[in-house]
Amino acid sequence: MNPVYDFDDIEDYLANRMTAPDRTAFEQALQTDADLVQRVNALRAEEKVLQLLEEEHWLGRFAEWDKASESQKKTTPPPPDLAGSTLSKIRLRQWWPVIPVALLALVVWKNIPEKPSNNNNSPTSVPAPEDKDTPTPQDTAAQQRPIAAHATEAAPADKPGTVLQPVAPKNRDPYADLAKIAFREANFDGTTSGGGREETSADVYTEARRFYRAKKYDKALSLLENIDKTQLQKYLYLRAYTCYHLQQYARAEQDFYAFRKFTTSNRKIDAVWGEVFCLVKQLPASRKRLEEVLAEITSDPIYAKSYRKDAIRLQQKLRQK
Amino acid sequence: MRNQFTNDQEILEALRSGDFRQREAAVKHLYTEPKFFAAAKKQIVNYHGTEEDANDMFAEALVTFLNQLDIYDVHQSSVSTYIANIAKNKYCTLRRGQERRENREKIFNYLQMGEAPSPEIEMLRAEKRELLDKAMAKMGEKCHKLLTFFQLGHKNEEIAIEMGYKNANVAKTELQTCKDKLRLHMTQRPDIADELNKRL
Repeated sequence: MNPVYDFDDIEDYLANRMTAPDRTAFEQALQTDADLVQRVNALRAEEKVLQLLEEEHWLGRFAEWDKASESQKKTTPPPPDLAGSTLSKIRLRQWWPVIPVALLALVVWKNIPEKPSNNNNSPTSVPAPEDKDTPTPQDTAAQQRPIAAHATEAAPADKPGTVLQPVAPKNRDPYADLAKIAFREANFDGTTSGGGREETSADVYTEARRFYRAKKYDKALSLLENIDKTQLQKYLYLRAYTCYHLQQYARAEQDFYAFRKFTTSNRKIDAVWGEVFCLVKQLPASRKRLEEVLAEITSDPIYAKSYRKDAIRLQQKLRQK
Repeated sequence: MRNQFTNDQEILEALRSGDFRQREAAVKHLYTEPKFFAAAKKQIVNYHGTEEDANDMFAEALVTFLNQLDIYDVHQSSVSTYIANIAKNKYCTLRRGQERRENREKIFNYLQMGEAPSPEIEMLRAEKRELLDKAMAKMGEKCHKLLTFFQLGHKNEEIAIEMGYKNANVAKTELQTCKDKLRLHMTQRPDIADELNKRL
């Protein structure tokens, strides 16, 4: 018969305070005593709860300290045109060797009289002497972060130190037809907000939604920058759409992508489609990723009743490009 | 902040002391003294992380470090190296998940956004918050506070002052009631206990 173990014994077991024979006996009892297993699990969970409470406390304190020491930031803030990112700084450094070369090339080019084109090299395509050895900013950037390609290529504002703010292309967009097929406006009429909390008129989310519906996307986004973590899903969803309308497609895609990580969400399927229309807007750089997501939608039965047909249509259109 | 701690040993003594104020001062020192963050940031940046990632990971690593005080050996590595290694490991774990979905580009996108917080971290924290809410659902605000004070190493006298109790004995009794309540809840709700054990 198994000895009766109380919570003190279980605590000793979990804290490794039992002698070897006692431990063996306890583990044998665990094989047959479901109640004991349940109590061991309860005690383990209790420890986790206490750890979570401590974590919650410290994260709160960190936030307070951050606020209090706003003037004593951990790092010197970068100049405004660098947008505060490390890679921006790296990229700026990568531009420096190229600037004199580019200036020299420009001067040489300006001084060369136009002559009949008897070779294939246009003046602009004549490489500067250092061209072979000096990596261009694009080359070095591509070596350093190859898979970031679609974000950088899609961003017209991707100059050193600028924040990714895609702007509308001046020329006709060859993918405009795809974007038209793909985009679905969400219904933010207030009846399907989800998230499980009652809204009040003073609610930040409600206010942001009001701006969104009034097409004041800038104002909506400014309210959505500080996400209320207790209502994470609906904030992310609205922010994704807001960013989309502000042509911040990469960011919108990111917010939609976040839904893949939620264990439960009634917006998961729509969010995957959100990724699709954001990726369409970042074509051609995002083509590989778009094809993957479309393949996922066409092969997974959960999309059968929603986006499968559209995904197939997009795939066909994409192949024609 | 004024530098009250001159070496790791002093920090550890404060962290391991029973005095919560000393402990909090040490945690604040770790959080605000630039060298600890710089060490973590260096590791994260080595792994192509951003400053934003470093910020997130540093906070997470610091909390983990506080939970590992009993196994940490100051003779094996300095506090800053230890925390930086935790941050690096946490970042690598996060990245591995992301890389499976070719998500490195998304980190880069977020980097471009400057101030935007990492949704990965937001989500992880939201999930933890959700778990904690479930576990503490029937506990009430008072128990939430008492158990937090207990876990933070407050003495009964300190808890009594914080909670406005008459004396330490009242704090002790109240705390025990909350502990029992939590234990009962975890025993009666094996589903929540399992979720906590699996996900954390």
